[in-house]
Amino acid sequence: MIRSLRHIYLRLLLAATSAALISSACTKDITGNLPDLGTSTVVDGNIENGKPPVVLLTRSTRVFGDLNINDLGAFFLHGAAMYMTIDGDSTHIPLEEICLRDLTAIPDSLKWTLLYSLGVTVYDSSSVPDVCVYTLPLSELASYYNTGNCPHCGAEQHTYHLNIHVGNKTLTSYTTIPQALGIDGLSIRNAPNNDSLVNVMATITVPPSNGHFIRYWTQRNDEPFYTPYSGSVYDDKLWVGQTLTLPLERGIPGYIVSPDPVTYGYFWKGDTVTLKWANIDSRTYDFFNTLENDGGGSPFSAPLRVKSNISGDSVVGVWAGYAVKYYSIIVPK
Amino acid sequence: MLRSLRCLFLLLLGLAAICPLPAQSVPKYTISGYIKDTANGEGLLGATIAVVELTKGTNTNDYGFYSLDLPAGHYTLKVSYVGYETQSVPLDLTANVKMNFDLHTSAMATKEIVVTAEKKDANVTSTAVGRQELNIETVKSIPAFMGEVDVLKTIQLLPGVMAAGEGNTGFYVRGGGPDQNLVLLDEAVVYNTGHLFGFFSVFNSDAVRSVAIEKGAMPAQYGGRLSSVVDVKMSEGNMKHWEVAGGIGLIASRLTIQGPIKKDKCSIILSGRRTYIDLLTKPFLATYQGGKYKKDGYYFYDLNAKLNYIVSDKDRLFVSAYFGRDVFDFKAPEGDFNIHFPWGNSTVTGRWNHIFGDKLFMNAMFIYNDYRFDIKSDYRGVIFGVSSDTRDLGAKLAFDYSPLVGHMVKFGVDYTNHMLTPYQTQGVFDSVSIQNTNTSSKYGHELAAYVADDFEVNKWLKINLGLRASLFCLAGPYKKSIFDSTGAKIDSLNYALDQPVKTYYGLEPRASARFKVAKSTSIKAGFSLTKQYIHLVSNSTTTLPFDLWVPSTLKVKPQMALQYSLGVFQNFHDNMFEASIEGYYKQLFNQIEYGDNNVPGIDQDVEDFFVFGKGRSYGAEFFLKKARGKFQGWIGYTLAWTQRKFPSINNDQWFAAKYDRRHDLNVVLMYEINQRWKLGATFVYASGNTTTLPVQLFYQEGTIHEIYGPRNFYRLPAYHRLDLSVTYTFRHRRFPKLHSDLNLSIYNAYSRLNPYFVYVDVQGNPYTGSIKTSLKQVSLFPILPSITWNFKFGG
Repeated sequence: MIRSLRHIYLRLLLAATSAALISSACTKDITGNLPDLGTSTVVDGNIENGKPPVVLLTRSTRVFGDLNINDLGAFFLHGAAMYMTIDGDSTHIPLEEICLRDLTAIPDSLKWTLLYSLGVTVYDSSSVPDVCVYTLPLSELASYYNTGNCPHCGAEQHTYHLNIHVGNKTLTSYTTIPQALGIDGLSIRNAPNNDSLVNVMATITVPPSNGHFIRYWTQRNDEPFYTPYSGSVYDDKLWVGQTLTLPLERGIPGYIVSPDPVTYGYFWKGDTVTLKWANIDSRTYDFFNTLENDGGGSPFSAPLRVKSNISGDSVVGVWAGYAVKYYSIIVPK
Repeated sequence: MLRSLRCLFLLLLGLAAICPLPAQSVPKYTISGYIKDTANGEGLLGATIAVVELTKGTNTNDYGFYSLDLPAGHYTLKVSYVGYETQSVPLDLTANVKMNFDLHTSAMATKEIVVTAEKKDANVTSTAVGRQELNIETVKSIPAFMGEVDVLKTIQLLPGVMAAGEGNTGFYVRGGGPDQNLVLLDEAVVYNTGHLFGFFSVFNSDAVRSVAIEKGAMPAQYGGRLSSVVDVKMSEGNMKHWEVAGGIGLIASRLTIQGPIKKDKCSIILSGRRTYIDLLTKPFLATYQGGKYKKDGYYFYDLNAKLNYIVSDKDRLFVSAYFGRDVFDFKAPEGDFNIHFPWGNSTVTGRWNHIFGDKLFMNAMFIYNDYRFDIKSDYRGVIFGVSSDTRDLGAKLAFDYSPLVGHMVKFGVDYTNHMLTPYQTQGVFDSVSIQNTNTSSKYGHELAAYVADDFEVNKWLKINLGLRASLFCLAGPYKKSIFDSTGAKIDSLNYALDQPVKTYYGLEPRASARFKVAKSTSIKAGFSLTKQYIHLVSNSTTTLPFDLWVPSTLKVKPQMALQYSLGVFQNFHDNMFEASIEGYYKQLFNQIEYGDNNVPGIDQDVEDFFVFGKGRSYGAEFFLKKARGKFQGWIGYTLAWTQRKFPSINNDQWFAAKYDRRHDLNVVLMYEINQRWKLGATFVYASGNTTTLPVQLFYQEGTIHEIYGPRNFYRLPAYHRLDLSVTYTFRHRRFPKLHSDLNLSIYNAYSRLNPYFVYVDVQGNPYTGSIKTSLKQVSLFPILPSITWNFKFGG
């Protein structure tokens, strides 16, 4: 919701205009040859304060190939050599490949974590592919889950360097987990003209200096955390030094392209709402800002190339550091 | 390159100096005056006054004024203009003399469609390269989109001019962008030429007197744009009689009133146009789905006015004005989003024509123009507004001087004060308010001086030499942002009011030459160097109301173009047929595009997203026109290449610009069956536009995203379309002063689904089934018939 303020014209208006044109126009399938430019390595990695790093390494596919969750296993890149260093320390912290099939002894909660990181919304053991991630060695993970002790988990105000060697490529990146600033609190406001819907409001005090970037997710009851449809990241340039209360936009699965306009952004009475609120660095912000704002296909905007924070040949993706705080509120019935 | 141009210019200048016309031993005198249309008193621009005995002559300027120096003697003057009766007048020249001519419309002309108002062999005899003139009657004879006659869409039917998109008034000229066209309405710049996202131009054809486009060697009196000048002149108002004209169409109606406030002294013209699609749909929307959409609507309107006052034989005053607005209102059925969005242009031009002596014609102008939009919305209690303003205030002093027979000298100075205000945003939610502070107005002073001489060296050779000196100064208040090595803004430097921030200047030589190789055959060559200090950078393939104009700044350097043209012009059958082949090569410098990672943000300076590079375009234009007879029209074909090269795009490799179109064919046919029935047809074929499409897909956080291929690598399917029209002219025996006709136009007669844009469609849920990707083409307009009733009373 906060983000929609920034883009309400430049995106919503363009999108509305495009949609109006398309709806009043004729659309048909055509054939066309798109060049085969090979595939790219895709890095989807993050490290959150207090949690182990997780990196998914996949490859892209050509546009006109089938791409579904059952085939996803075929896109994982296995056998990469990967390590992480922290700040200026040269100590290599290895990140090892772990696949779901190997995790018979790992609690389901971790499987869920891994699946959530992919955005998988329905757990069905018969259809879930063999997801593989690169993370801390199993011994460290076991210690983390059993004792909470995790010396190489993320921590605020540290920079994490990532080095990946896969095939004949070397990919590098770094991200900083900034200070977690959090919010002042959550509150409820009834939606206008609807008795069953509510806005969940966040009260935020923006520090007097700018340069802060935010990403947030919401969770409704037992659903996974989802990012808002209109975008998940924003910066605080327009709000410096202010305390403001703004509606949060309920997150939805990323594959939904046309959310219901009546319930869009709202929660329902009786919901338990959890907010995952993360401070991020500017490079992480740039990645998601470009990823989420591509208006490709519209005659009114040019395609947007994602601004990755990974260096290397034919690579796209992000190595994101999150300084996370969680907040919950129960919406009265 | 520039050095060689300077050498060429000096060479031509020297040539002019060493080729004076033969010295005259007898005293010389000047004849001067105006050539006007008898019917309405309007000056005829480009009319010819020829001295039969000397086989020399001259043409009237834009205001119908001429001046001619001759040795004392007995002469026969022949005054002519296509579509008008030629007058032959004996003259015993013993002193300076003023002679005004009133030409009558010829009987032949009333029977025929007047295709051109040019001198009948002007295309062969003039030095103009890449110039085309269109009489408004021609524009009205061509099938019209939705019945709305449109001068800009007619221009798109000329070779070298390409339409920006389906049904769009935006156009590209010889590989230049839409912002590189200088569109003038009575000398005032029109920054946004389109209504309804460009589907209709802002020019009401009833208020337009003439249209000309320069796309080759741009004359020195024009500047500030690289590619072309579209000079639209409003009617001056009937000096003789009151008349009312108008039209009623499917989506809009027009009404024009003009006449003499004082006969032959002062006239006025008032013209208005409004769409009424909102009014027509309102009753239906009031009941449709419980009236949920009753507050939605869109309309546009135009108002034109002009006052023309002849103060004396030597002085004339004109004041003309234009005001147009588009208004879009939308209220979401759910009631949680509404928007009010008006935008439009306004221009005012004040002109004073004065004749000094008999040879020096002055046109002093004051010009104001403004383009703005102002959006207000309410989204679930978040009140938000965005506004933008592009305002010019300027003055021009232009002189026409004919010192000798065969010479027409133009010189003058132009000054424009620019104020360009990008997005200004305000937002309010409860007690929270925001206002952006990083996109304040930018101010610039643009100054130019020019001189040009169009002179006939001898019977075969005619040369036009011009030099324009231009200067642009970006002035305070201005905030210069300072960034660190990572691109983060760390500080800013403030400039005070009128403090110069950055000054750019340069010389812009223009030259063209015509070598007449036979009576009706000539070869023409031209070159021009042009600079542009104000820029529009757009992601879109069409003109949009929220396009932003930006000035040259510390970061944004002036655009520059260098163009070479060479052409062969041939007329046949006593100028009934006109044919030409023109080739051109154009180099473009300091071209501007958005970078690959541009995310528009309302709190950021738009120029922070620009990248800079160069361009080139070359091609050949073929043109064949039948200018007289019951059956008239033209065929224009352009073969062209347009490319760009940017260090930060496509790894610094040349790529096809979005304006690149290999083939562009236009066929325009008009046939007058008899005095009642006229037929019209246009056929358009164009290679598809280029675009950028994704070539790979990838998962990120469980969502599918796209990786794009090289910039503009994909070419859309070809575009072609046939439009037809039939016009029936009524007889009104009981009302002889009433003239009316009914026009039926059919746009896209064979309902070709032309590509408007193409996108990769990704359908399906990756977790419940297979994802299907496909290439989709969006087409806008199938066959669209329209009907318009036009009328004229009085005159």
